[in-house]
Amino acid sequence: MDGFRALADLLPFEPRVYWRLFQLENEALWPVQPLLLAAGAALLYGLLRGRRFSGRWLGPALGAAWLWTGWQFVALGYGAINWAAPRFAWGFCAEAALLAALGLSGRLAFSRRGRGGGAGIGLLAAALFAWPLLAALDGRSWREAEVAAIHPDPTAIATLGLLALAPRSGWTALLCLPPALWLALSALTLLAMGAWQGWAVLAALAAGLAAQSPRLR
Amino acid sequence: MRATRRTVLAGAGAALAAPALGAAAGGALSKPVPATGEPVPAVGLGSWITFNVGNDPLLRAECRAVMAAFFGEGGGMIDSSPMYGSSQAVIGDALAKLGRPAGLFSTDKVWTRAADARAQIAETARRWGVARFDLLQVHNLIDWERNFDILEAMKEAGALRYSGVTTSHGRRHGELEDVMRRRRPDFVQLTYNIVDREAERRLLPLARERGIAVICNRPFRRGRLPDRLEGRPVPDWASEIGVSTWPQFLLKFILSHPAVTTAIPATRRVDHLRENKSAAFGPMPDAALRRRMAAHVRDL
Repeated sequence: MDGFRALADLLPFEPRVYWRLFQLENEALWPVQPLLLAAGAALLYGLLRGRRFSGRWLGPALGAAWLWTGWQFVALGYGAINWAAPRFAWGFCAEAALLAALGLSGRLAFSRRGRGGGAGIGLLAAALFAWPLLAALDGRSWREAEVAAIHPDPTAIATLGLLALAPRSGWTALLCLPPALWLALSALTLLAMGAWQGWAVLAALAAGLAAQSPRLR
Repeated sequence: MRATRRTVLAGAGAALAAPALGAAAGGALSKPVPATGEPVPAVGLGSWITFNVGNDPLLRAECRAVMAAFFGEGGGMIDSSPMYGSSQAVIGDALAKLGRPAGLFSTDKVWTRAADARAQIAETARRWGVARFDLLQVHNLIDWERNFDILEAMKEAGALRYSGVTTSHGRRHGELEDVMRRRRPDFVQLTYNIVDREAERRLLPLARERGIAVICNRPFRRGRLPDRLEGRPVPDWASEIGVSTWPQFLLKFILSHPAVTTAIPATRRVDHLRENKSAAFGPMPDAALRRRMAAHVRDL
């Protein structure tokens, strides 16, 4: 744990300040959160029923989530307390552009199939429904709940889950890079803060990468 | 006597009442800047991490309350840096809302290459809302020779009162010694506390010899020292110097070094700020008691 202590010395903010970013964002956007959860539940239900979702609309929709999360939360919110954060936001913008472009080009489609499909569905469900519970499990307010398409960790986990449901290609591998890098960075940050959620993020990252493995397809 | 940072302010209550009177009577310890003899309150206020609260209105209000209490206790040095996220803007916002109270010794840093230094200083001044800083320092020796030349030129032009150079975490003491010997800044800032005492060997004696003021950062090792001592009794013999809590104990150790000008503990809690300020009152430990204090903490 000495390594995490050394990392903690590099963090320019306190955990309370970090967690309050989530509360401020949630308060500003309420009641978008239940609508997003309902949309996510409908997507998950469709996938579970075997429906195939076209990337022509889901790609740009996911891209919009990355653009919003990267700009509003990472660049403006997190960027106010971490001078490096606006640089991370460029990665979110790149992911958004790539998701939209590949989706519109017809190269992305999402459906449940094989073992990778199960892992993808599991990750998507975790991002949508488990991540909002973490704040309460930590003894913090529901107002600090992390919601996919608003906050970066569940957005990245949901994206890895969906990419596990897409046809494997070099492009989908490239699309995995920004969420994987973000989750690694987020896990380190959380562990440096002494937050157990860092282990949850690491587990989701490992599961997300494993779900992309061809052996699971 | 059992005293903790979080729970025992009962003893400090009496101490705090005294400081308020003492401050009015000039009882709080101030130390002279060797270059001019100007007295500076011995307990200042850092802003690393604690004041980096972004645009959060609730947390900004907490910072403002700490600054209000700081000025209520006599004010002194407030230190920040462009590296500290939103801290500069938070300080500037609080100063404006508090009506720019008297007693501020404004201190910030240059944290960039010399080519961008003047633009960064202008932005820093805009965030603070000040026309002229009391002290600007080269942060962590970045491009220090050229940046220091810029600060000296600003002093010559009357755009700055004092210049300085900083380091932290006990790093780069050799280079800092070189700066102190070659350029003689008005201030140096370094890490010095009851367990990080490397500076006692060369830097603090050199500061006295060269007439350089010393600012001590990380007096509590980012809160870890009081946390480590929490729940353990403050030794009875510490009452000789008016100490009833560990933060007072830790700060008095630092402030009593003859080369030290000021320490800059950071906090976002008014009770902690007052407790820190209270360490500037009453008798200070002599050399023998300082040795005993350091040995006591080492042995815990």
